Amino acid sequence: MKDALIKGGFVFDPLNGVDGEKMDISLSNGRVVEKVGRGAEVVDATGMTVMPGGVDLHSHIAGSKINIGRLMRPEDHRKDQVPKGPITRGGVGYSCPSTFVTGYRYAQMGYTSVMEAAMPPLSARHVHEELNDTPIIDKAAFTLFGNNYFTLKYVRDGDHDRLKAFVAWLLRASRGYAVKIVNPGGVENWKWGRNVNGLDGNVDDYGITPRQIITSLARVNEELGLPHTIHLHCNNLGMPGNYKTTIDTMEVAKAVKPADGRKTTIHVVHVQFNALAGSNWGNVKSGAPMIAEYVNANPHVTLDLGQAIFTDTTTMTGDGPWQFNLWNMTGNKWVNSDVEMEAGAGVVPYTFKANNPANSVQWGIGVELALQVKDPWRVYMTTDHPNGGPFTFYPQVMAWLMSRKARTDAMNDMNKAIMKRTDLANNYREYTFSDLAVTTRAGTARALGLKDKGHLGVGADADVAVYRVNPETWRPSQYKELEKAFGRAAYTVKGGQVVVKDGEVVAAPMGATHWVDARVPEGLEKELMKDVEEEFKKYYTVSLRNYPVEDAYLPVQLVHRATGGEA
Amino acid sequence: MRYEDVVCPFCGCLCDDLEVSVEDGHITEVKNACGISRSKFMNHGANRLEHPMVDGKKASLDSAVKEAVDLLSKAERPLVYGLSSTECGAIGKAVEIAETMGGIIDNTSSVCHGPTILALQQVGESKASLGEIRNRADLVIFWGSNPTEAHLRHITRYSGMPKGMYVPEGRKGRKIIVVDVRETGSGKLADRFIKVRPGSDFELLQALRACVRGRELPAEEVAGVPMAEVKELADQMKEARFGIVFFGLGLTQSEGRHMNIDAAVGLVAELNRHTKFVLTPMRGHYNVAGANTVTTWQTGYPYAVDFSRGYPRYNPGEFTSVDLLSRGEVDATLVVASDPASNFPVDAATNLAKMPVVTLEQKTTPTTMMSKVAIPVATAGVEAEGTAYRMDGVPLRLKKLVEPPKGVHPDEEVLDMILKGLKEAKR
Amino acid sequence: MNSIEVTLISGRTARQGMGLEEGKFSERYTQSVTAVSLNPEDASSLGLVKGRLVKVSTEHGCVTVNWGGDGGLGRGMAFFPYGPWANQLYSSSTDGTGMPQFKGIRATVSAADGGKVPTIQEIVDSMRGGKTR
Repeated sequence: MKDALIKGGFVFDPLNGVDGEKMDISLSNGRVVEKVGRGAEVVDATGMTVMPGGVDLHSHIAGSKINIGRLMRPEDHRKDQVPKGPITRGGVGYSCPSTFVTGYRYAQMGYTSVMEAAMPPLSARHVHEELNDTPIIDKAAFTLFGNNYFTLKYVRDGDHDRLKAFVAWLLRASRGYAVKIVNPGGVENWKWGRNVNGLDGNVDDYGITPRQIITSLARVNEELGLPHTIHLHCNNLGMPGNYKTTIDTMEVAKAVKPADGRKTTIHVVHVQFNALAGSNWGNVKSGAPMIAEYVNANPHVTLDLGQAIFTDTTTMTGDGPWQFNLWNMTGNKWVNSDVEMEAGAGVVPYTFKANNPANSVQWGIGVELALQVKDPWRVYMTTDHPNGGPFTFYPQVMAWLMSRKARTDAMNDMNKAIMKRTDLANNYREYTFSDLAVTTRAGTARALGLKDKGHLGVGADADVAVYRVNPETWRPSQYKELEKAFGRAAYTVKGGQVVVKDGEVVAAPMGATHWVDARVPEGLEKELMKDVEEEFKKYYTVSLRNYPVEDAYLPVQLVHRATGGEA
Repeated sequence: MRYEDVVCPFCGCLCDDLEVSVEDGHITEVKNACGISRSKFMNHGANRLEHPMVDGKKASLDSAVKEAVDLLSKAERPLVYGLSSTECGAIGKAVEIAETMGGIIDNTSSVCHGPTILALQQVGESKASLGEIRNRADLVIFWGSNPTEAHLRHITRYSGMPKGMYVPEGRKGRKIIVVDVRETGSGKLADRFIKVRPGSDFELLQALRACVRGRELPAEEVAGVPMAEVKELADQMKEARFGIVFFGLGLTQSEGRHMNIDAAVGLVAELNRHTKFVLTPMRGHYNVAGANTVTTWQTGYPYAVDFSRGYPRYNPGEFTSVDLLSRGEVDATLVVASDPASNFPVDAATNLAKMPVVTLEQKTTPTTMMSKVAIPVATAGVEAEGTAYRMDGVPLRLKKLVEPPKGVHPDEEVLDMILKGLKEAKR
Repeated sequence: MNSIEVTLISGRTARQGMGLEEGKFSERYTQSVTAVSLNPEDASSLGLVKGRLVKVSTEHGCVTVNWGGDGGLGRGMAFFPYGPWANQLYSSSTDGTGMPQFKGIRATVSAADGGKVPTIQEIVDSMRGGKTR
């Protein structure tokens, strides 16, 4: 591959303190380098915004859940049919895009790394097969732990060491990147048709609480030195009044000692759905101020928005009981999928309507969270694709963050509840380009522990996005121009190769799948495996030998070693 | 050489506890397998297509591929069909072939559990993986399904006999009910057999749902079942701790098709308001679920996918193979891992005989007999590796235990040759 | 000619499964799919004895096959395993669902006067030479 030179753009590289400086970025052999020679391909970025490639830390793009969504919603596909091109495969888009289209569309927005948010280990192969059919972007998947039999058992028994060994082993067996927890205890109770009602609810068959599950996994996570903190979907999602649960949950992680080199111990996902104040859907209002207040005072927490978009989208989470509730509330078609010994999931189409008071409050909550949490390094822009809305709406969300006018124009078309039940009308904050770079790439890469992503310092991966907007002359009133610029990158460079030009895919190389290889002392691992072998025979319907994901499923892999647990 | 934990490539049970002994490159013994599985392993080498055939005459692989590429690229409306008895890599290639040709791709679910998918697209489905059933189910209902003839180890491995985490008594801890139009072997081993009038499953499912909801129905019987029994069954379902309905082609292939499944899904969803209840389709072939899964993630749609406009379109009834063939809308077909000439109604099969057909198959079948080009391929799960998806969506890796016969390649390789040829032809 | 009306069901059998894994031209496969099962009383009413052949007809086609008794079948029902012989009887109409109705159609069964069970080769030949209806 030729060297490349991104020339003359306004560079935002917050991790390295670069804030709109006009400079060149040199790329060689897939990395950012000091400089390149004359034979390099020149990408003319004059007058444009240059950022590291986008890093999305929470999206549902691969595996049985999103595939159920695709299967369920031919009517969604027909809204967005994507013809094949000379080098691109055809497919469908909108809320449940096919895999090829997913890769293309992320790249077209200048994103170069995307994390699949929830992987049940029993169907990990499915996730990896789909990731292998998702072109261009680098990817990883987070392994579900919070309702796993072994987690619950070891927490019940207070067997911290075995839990640690188990987490390390299962991450390796599933080729996962992080510890994902969804409605801990609740999904287990759902296997009998029940739920759990908060942090101190009872996980019926184990006599433990969600609080214990979260604490144990967070401690193990930090002791193993995993690159990302626990990635947590709180109990009581979607229930007005739940902001209290969210704050209490964040507080649980406060007592956990973080791994070396970081202050954070928990990442809370799609907080919009968990930042509801009020007592029912009739009087729901924004709990964002309370959450923001807590986050601002507590540096151990990071969160992402789960921004709502007014459109017909598809909800899909590992929160089986929540999805059952949503079916009861809406009457929309409902798929539930329980996974033995491990996890659950549910998929229900949902339409967010601007004239619906509750939906408009939800819209407001997401934006409020982003504006009221002061530190952009700890709050990340997502829509929990596709739960809040398709990821292709990210540029709109960016506009809302960077332009008060964009917000007020949007709010004019909304139910007036937005004015009465959130404080958005009084919020004048506007994200800077640097803030935007943090919340969509630098901050997320740092939270994930992806040291070579999210920045453009020497040695970083050569993943660059160039957007056709001049940060020196742009004014927030020009938010539509911003949306357009971030919706169709002038250039996207992946691994040093130009993959998108003027919003069109010009190359579709295969990205890498990242996963974490964490280790514990050999003796401890042996003890664990004895237990795992026995339990598999008794309760699983697949042989242990057939369970771990084989190398064949990771043609291009990047392994991150976590050595914290080796001592 | 003894292989353990071998995955069986026959039916949707995808049992993965087989033991296969191989000596001198031949399978000599199979343990833990059901009769059909044993037949597959022990007979995999019998009656094989020995070499590629073009127009009934022996041909080299290269010339057979060339002929295949030629006839497919000349076709105006080519169809790719089959795919349920091969592994996922091959299925992905088949999708790409259909896209490259601007043709149609369909798989055997269109004549099997396609209606289940149609129902899912209308109302959804509440399901659980087979281990959940094994560990928790105390009420197991087989509706329009006969596992003793089609999924031979299902009851032993998953749904009847095994001890589970919350069913430590095994079979004694479960009640098995069979609902069918005739008493089969499954009906005989059940705790209760309910005979339903043919074509009336829909009414019975809806009546049950009404009873679950507490509605009084002004009928003395429904679908040939006395009202008292209907109410009793509804109560039994409500009082189960964890109930499961396994349903089969009795529902998908009878009058009403997908509406029968729609009714079953609705009943189970209603039951979720009272207790824990799930349902699972008894997928027939070992990787028909994989055919749907791969096609869906790549195109957005599970079967009956048309690429003639350059983007995938989906319309069962329009792009499903039996319809296409019987209406004479296809002028060339690529068949992979299936035998439509045997499995389709005679009109559709007769029309298949009228057009040039390329078939990738292990043994002589009526389809290979009417094919212009027949290419022998390796048996996935015996002679070739790959992924297969169990009836509940769990993916397992098929193993390669022995070499395929000389000159015989895996489906994926041959399809790749055809794909490359088609892309060349387009240039 | 004595004949009865039946509701015809097609389906899988274990023997059919074992047979097709040997091969579609194997003895075991052929035997497993060239016999229709009848209620024993229905069979008697047709004067059927062991070794006699039956003719099964629907509005779409007819085929001559062997027969067997099955006590699990109610009167007025017949079971015919999936395969090229059964498929002579089914319509390709799918009512827009993609799925033909393989279960629950009306058929007539009578003792076959002469005739023989077609071989699979004959069925293939008739499809190759055949006209559509």
